[in-house]
Amino acid sequence: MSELSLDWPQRYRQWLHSSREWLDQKNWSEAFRTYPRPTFTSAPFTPLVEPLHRIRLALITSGGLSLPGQPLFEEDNPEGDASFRTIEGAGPLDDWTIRHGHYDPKDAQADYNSVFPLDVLRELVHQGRVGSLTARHLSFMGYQTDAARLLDHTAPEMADILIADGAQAALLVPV
Amino acid sequence: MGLVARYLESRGISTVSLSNLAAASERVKPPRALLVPGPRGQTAGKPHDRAEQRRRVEAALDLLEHAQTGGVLKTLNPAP
Repeated sequence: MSELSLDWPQRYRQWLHSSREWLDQKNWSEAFRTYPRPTFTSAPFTPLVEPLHRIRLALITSGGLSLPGQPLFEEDNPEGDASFRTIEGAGPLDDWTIRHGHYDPKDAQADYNSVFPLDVLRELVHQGRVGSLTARHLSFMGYQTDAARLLDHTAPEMADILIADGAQAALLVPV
Repeated sequence: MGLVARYLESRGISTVSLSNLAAASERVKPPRALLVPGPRGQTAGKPHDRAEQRRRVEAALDLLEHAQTGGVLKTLNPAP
């Protein structure tokens, strides 16, 4: 059970039904005018357990980045894409593809660090500012309309991976 | 992204988010967020501008290290 209100899934289905035409026409301003935006009055808080130079950190982007051999994100789906990719490997990424559909991918396609600053974090580890990085980092496509699916399925699967890799903290980079 | 940050935090992972949408962050309230200038597609800095990328990441990590409470939204200092 996610922290969304109990009636959120029903409100979402009503919105999807009533906005389908706008979504299909990619008229985002009309489609999202009535979207049931999740709203909160407070935030959870987990203090850092150790100083940053002893912390194992994970990197997460919602920029829709995938590696060769991985499926590309479904940028043309009106409801978005609820899947995610794991990004691993010790060195700089040789090749990557951005699929998102809701921002201009030109900059991130030229330098992934603009939305996925992995090389920057590696410099900080090398210089002793950050303890270490997880073996796996995560990428998903921020455009997805079903927040209940995100919170009930995608986010728990991502958390399981980070916890298995010993992550104590995460840097999240949206687009 | 704010929803993911909230979820990870509830699972015991401390999070800090860059944010380029103040209104969204104020509504969703991620645990710690650093508001950075746009445009979309270069949240962590312009391509190949390693100095600015590093400045943004380091400012976010400072917030991760020093925030004392959940729901803090800080604005990145203007570029020097």
